[in-house]
Amino acid sequence: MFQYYCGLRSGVKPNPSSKRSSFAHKISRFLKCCIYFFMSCIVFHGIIVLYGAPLIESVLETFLFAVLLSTFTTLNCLCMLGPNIQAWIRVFSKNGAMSIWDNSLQITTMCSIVGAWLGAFPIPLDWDRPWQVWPISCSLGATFGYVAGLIIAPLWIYWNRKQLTYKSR
Amino acid sequence: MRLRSGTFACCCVLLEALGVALFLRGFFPLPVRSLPRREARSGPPAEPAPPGAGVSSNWTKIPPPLFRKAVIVLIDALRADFVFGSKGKQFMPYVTQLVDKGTSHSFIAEAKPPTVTMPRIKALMTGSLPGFIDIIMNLNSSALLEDNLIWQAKTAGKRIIFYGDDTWVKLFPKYFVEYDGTTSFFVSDFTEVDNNVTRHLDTVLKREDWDILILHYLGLDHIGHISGSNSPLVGPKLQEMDKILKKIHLSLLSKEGEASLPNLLVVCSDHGMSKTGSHGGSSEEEVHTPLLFVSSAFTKRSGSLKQPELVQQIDLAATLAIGLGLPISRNSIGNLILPVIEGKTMREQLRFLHLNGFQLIQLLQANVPAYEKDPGFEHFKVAEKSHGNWIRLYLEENSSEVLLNLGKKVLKQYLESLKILSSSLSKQVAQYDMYSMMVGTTIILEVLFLLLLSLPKALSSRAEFEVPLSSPLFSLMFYLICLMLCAVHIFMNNKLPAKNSAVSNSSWSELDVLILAGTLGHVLSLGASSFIEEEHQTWYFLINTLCLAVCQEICRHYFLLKESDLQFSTVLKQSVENFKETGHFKQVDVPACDSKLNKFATSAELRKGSEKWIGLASPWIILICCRLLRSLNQTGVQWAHRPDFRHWLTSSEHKAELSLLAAISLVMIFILVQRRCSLVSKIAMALGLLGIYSYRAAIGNVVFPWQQSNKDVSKGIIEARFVYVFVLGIIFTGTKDLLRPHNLPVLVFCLLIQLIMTRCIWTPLKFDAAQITIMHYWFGQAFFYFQGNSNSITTVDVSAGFVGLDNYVEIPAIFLTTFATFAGPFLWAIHLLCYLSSEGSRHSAAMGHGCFCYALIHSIPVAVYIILHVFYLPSKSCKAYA
Repeated sequence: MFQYYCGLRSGVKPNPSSKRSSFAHKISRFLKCCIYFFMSCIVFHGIIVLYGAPLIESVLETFLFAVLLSTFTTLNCLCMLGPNIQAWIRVFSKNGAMSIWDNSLQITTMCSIVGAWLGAFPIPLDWDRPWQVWPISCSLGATFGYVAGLIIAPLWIYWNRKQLTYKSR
Repeated sequence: MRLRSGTFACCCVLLEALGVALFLRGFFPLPVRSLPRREARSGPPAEPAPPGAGVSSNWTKIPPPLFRKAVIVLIDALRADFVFGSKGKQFMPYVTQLVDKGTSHSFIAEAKPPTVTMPRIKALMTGSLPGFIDIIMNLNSSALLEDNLIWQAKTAGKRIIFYGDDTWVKLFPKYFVEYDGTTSFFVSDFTEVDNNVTRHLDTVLKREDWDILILHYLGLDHIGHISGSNSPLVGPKLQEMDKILKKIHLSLLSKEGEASLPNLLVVCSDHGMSKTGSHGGSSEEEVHTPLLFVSSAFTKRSGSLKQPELVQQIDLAATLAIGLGLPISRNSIGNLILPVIEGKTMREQLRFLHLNGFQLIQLLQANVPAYEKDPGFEHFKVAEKSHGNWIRLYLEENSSEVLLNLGKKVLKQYLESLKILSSSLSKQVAQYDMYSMMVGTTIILEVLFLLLLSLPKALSSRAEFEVPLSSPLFSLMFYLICLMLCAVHIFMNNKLPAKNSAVSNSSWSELDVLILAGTLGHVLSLGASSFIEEEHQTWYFLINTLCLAVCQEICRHYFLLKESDLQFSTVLKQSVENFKETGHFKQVDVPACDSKLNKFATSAELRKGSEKWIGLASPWIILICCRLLRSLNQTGVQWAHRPDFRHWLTSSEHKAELSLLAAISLVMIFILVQRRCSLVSKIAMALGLLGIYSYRAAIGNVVFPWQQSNKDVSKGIIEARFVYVFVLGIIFTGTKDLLRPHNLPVLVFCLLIQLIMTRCIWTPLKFDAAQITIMHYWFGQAFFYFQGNSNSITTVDVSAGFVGLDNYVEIPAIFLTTFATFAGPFLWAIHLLCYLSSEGSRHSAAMGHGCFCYALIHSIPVAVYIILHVFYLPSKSCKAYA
């Protein structure tokens, strides 16, 4: 999945702003994207640890979960918006979405984060199931949330299409 | 009548407390009791007379004892598998040999929860089941007034010697001819405690002037509390116990003459030990204890033992009473353990069973009005009748073959009836008073509805009510109806104004959604028992999410502010331009004005920038604080055995670190609190903090750097009182004295978070009172768990009740324990009060809103919890909501 996204990103990224499409510029943007992605992984890892994940025990699992989460959230943003912090802030502030792409981005990101959040609930239950072990339920929650976001986004855009066209004007 | 919403909330809370009290009254029933002991007792029952005239039995007295001397060795927290499992084979060779090949009977005795030492000792000696109310009543171990084995033995003229845990000495004062109590106060000591018992053993075993010897060894329990059941210390301790048992057994054997009765050695335990080494719950490891009878009267075992039979722990009282020729204590609901008397003749065995059954029937008569309908009673009558028939046959001297078979049949009937009788009696303990529970539930629900329905009105700007209370309130029924009507009335009244006032200016923010969802989610999570056991996880999760939401809010606040600032400055510039244009004509010194304006703007921007960064960083600091606190105390059930900082700090090697941490925390507390105090209170507080440290040093928890050898571990009473003198005015310091030294950082972080929240989040963002109240409530709950508490009663730190007291004084001890347990929520509630009253100038109704929300948010979980209890009555964890 990760490689698939890498391929996708390198393919999609130059599209949004291709005014100066010199090769060096592309490379620098790509490196910037990589750094942002890595940073978001670390930030997610930190937040997960703050939420109570074990600090030393099963670091690798926790970090992989962080990578998964940032794949669902940061990577999409990088693909759509590029390494442009101002644009990110604009999209994720209230009433900041300018196009249906921004809306779908908002929805999928929120859904995957909420899914991961909800995925933590079965952990304290005493059912003794194999999928209750630490990062599994959260990863499943994030994945299902992302899928749900992918389904919800077009439907939402379809239902609200009149307001959207009005807003983009 | 017009009511402020704060007053209204207070009334509701009072009413609700009444409801909770009624509910608890029904939920904790009084234990099964027969008549008081001192009353005239009917003598022991005669053997049932054989039907038909002529022959009559002459056995009307209590049967003679089966054993001459009895030694009861109680090893605290001896788990069943420490004797019968692989550990027993490895470390207790003599006992294993006794179990497998010796003259012994071995059982697994099942203890009923709560598996705590004192109720268990009571159960062993009285044979009754202590209810949950007994834990609350018996923090203070006063003398046991119930009929018990020790009392019976004493009145029968037996001489009893006791060595071991001084709980026994408190429970049975003046019963022992000789005793030496060891205190279980110093848990870290597990050799001296046992040596103090063993040192008497040699002389006592040589002497002849005793009949019952009771030994209570505490060492194993202490090892369990310190380092868990898999500790390497357990093996040597078991070996030591094995040696002691061997010594006792051999000396008992050597003293047995041909003519005299045999002696009895009983090895038992009060409760087991969970994997972490604690006890109190109802897991199998905590409940299963070994029970071993060793006597030369028993037949030698041939083959090795399979699985030992399961009996009840309370059976020991009845069995020992029969074995020692004593009357069975009146409140006992145990059954005679049959294998112990198997060596006797059939007539004696039947007689013993009849005695036991008769005692149970008497207890049943005293407690159940319709006792004749009880199946156990009917069974017993049938058995008694066939017993009479058997006696007649016996006296007529029929052939022994027929007698034996018939006797076995009667024996079986007796055993069955005994089993039914004791099960129906123990059910009596678990009976709930449905009526008072229902009334309590109704009251709580009504209060909840009232609060919910009056919500829109209470949060409106006036925060006042129109409550029709002038009508007569003479009957309860009328009052309840009045409450309902009042709620309906308020609801109907509110419908109209709520529409046009339009309280919320726009749609809800994410924070509101989160607060609502969190409250609802927490309430829903009370439905699953594992969520109740792990409630701390819910709270930690919620406050983390809250912090992140607050962080997002802050981001939005500052970034949106920036945009509006830009607009503002453009407006400003335009006005300046206009001013310049106009001023051009008026010949005013324009450039100076302009530069002044610019300077002002930049300094404001600078200040705003630093404020912004502090504001942005504050949720993260809070998050980190919470994470650190979380790893300080592991609580709950599933992950309670995980290593945490507390174990690391309290272990004896890290005393220096603990002292350093405590000192730093105290200094931090001083720094954080001192800014709002006057000089006098500052000095008082500094002295108080110093007093706390010296108190802890006196107790031996922390060390002074300059005091290398503190041999004299006094109780620190003077120091604690010294602190109390200084803290009368300052509520914070009182808490700190009660908290264990490793919990001092909790307090520091609490104050720190409160400071950060007030400074950086609540004041600039202008949350309304309801939001702030709910946040306070959440943090208070989380800090309750950060202290290491949980919903199980075993985590209540009873030792806080003894700080600064010479011995147990009931009211201060209860007060101190409650205060130490609920310090977290209490501190947050106080902070809320301070904050709201300081904000009172801004919103006049803030206080009322806060009170109202606090009452509401407390009453929701209480109501839900109680409803759940009505539906799922058997609950294990006992929960106390303040």
